[in-house]
Amino acid sequence: MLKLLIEKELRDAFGSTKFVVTFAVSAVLVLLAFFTGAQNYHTQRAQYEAAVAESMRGMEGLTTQEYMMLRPLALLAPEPLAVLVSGVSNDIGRTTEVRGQGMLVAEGSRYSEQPIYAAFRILDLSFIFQVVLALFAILFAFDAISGEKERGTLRLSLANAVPRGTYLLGKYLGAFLAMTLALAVPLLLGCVILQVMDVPLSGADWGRLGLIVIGGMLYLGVVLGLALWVSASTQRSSTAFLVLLVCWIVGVLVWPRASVLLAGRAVEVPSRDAIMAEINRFQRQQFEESLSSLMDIIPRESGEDGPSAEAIEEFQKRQQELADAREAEGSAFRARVQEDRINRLRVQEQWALRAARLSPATTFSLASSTLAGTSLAMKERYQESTLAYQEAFDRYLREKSGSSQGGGIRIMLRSGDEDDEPEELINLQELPAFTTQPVLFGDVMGHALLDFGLLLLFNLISLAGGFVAFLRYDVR
Amino acid sequence: MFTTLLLKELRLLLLSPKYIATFTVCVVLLLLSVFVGIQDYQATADQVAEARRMDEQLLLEATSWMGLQTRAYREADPLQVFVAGTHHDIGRYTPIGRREIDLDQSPYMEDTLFALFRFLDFAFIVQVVLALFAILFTYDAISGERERGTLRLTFANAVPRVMYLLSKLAGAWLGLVVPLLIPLALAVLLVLVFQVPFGGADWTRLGLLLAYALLYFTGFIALGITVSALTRQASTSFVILLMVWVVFVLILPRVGATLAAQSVAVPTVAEVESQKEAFASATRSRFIDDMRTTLATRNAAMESMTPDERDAYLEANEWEWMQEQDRQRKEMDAEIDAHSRRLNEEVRVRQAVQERRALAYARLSPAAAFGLAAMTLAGTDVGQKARYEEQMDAYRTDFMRFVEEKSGNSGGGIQIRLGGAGSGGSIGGGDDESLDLTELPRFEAAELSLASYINPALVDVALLAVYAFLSVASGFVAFLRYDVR
Repeated sequence: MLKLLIEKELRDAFGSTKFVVTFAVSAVLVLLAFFTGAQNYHTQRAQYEAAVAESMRGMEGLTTQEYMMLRPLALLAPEPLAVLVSGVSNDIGRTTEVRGQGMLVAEGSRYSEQPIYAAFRILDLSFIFQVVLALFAILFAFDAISGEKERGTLRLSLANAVPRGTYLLGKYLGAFLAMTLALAVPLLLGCVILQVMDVPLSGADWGRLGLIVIGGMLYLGVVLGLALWVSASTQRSSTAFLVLLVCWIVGVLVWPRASVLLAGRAVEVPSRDAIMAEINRFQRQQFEESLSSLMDIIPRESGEDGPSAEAIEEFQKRQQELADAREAEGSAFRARVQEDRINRLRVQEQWALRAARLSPATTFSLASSTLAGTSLAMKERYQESTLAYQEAFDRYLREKSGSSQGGGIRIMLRSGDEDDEPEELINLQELPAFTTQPVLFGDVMGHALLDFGLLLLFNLISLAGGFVAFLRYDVR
Repeated sequence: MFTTLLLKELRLLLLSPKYIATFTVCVVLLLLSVFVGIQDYQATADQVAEARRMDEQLLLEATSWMGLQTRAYREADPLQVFVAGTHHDIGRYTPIGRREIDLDQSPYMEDTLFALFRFLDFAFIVQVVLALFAILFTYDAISGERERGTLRLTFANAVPRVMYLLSKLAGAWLGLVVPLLIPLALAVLLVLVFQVPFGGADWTRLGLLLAYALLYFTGFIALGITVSALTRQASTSFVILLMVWVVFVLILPRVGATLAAQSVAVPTVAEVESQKEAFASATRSRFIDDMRTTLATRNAAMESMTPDERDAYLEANEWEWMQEQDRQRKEMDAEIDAHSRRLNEEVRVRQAVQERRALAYARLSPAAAFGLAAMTLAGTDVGQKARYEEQMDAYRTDFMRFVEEKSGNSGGGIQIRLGGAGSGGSIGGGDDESLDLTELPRFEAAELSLASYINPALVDVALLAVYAFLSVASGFVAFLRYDVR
């Protein structure tokens, strides 16, 4: 029975112009998203590699006396999935100048560098699912019940021994299957495009992409269920459509924005400027202190060639000890002043996202960006990677030059006879290379689980609502 | 006759359930957007004021002109309450000092949470929601009446088709203007209550924004009637219109930008920065090498002298040498600066080409044309960044000149002069007293004339007018040929 109903739905769907037109449009969009995504990936990759090469070239020619002047850049590499689900990947800073010690600030987001894309945004897979396909799903299912009633076919169907529950389930599954089949072709072609255009995706990446698509289908399931519910609660299909359109506007366009803006503003977060000013003040103080303390221990000239080699070595050691002490003090200070802000940001994030998740569109958007590694966690991941790199870089510096960068001012002393030695260049091959922590499949899956659960729950709720409404529906 | 028709249209529309739904949605959304916009504006303005105050404090605490630096902030424009544009995507401040101008740290970079779902503003609502409502009001204007059979009845009377269509247009237009104007009037009240500093020019700009919005949705209303007059069934015309809306509003602008990104490659800032850095360090090391050679020649010249002669020789030449060295350093700085500027210029040219292409593709859609015109009007357009950076660069020149005059040194990074034995050290030429900052130039963004908010977007406004005219004209043509049976 159910099978028969589903078959009928499928036949109806593929026979209707509406369905064919909307899904032809979505097929074109999906293919376009994959194609431009793959191209974008290569452009970004090329730019990234050029920037890395330039940064290495900029450090060439430094001699072993100049370890203190090394300023490697930690550049965030483009990720293949980020072009399909952009998330916040275009909003966060992608360049960090790394010093051996001290605070690191990421600079230069894509949108701030090229505001034209900020003005128009980017067409990606998650946008197509979240906005366009949701609208098409509504267009496809709004008259499922009320439309059949208007045409009089509902009465005929139910004149047979068809349980209402089965009928509704048939409608839901039929519509869902039709959409899945219609989308499967362009999605598979999109994967072929990624392959053909040499976008390097690992097995886990494919798994994540698959899960993103599954999340998208779950989301469309919610929309379909909701459409059936509204359709089974109204007598005329035009009313059903109006209600659904308002739901779509609110759920997709308004609620995510409004909830984050309102809930986010409700939590007071101390401004970054205040913290930066405090840190600046502290650093300046440290700078002055460090200078005077260095003056106290600086070796006085003895003889014509300046201080002896032993005196310099002694001085360097003392200087390093002082610098380390100051650096420890400095980082403790920074951690203390930033702690409050970080905690409040967490609270703000929690509240805002909790409120936003009431809309299935937001839930899907969060799930997909988490899976693609472009959620808010991306910023943290990059920050942590730069901090880890800073440590590695600091170790490298201490090993090579015996001292660190930072802790206020340094004074370089040389004894007179060193000048004649041939200058040796720094071997940049030995410089540790920056890598971002990879997105771990298990990790993101764990974070996306909540959203997947919510999407399933929304599915169940909308179906249950649809059943209740349809059981009480006057089919005449 | 026209009045009768118009009144009939309005009565039909105002009493329909869809009107109540759209009216409520419009009022709630517009008020919400303005409320959020005001909050955001005030937060931005407070942040700038607070940051400036703290910078001032830091300046007061400074004890030396050497290496003095500060920041210049981008200011909030009151009209960003209505059109946020690229405000959240562009950097908030740039350091002013030795480093080059770089407007960085956008609001979204700092508070990434808000970047997740972007902003809700008046322009977005008009661009997306109001356009959808315009379609909803008109999709069954002709084909719906035909289906219900009322079209035939109407034309059994002596009604000219043109007048009938005009009344349809005017009815839907008036019907949509009301849910726009009422919340907008309330929004103006909100602006006054929250004391957003709106000057005379700002009110004019707000009025113009409303005019752009009207022009924009006139096009969509006429388009709805056109498609309705081209189809036999209301449901068909609705599907077609919805597709057109999706393409115009959601897809074309994005695709335009995405395609343009691929046709012109612009080097990233990191890449350019590294190029600059490489050039600067090469120039500096050349300068140091030159210094070493001159020093060596001078030392060689003094080799054969007696100590007394040497002292006299040094006495005679030292000042000149210092002057020369200073001049050379200035030359080096100028060279590095010129190179950076050239690189920046190159990037800017490429970016301009890319932007032009993106705009050309995107402007096929009236929604993009409206968005661009609105952003230009609010000063939150794509060119905002370049505009600010130019002003900030000019300010940096002033600032550096002032600091240089005060410190009497052009500065080549930090210089430390070690005093005699036991005297400790001092940085640069300063003493420990705080500086006299009364004459220090402060950054103020230039007031833009009204024309500069309007002229750059004239193309877009003209395009909006063309789109509106085309859809009205095609509506007439289609309806004159319509089979009313």
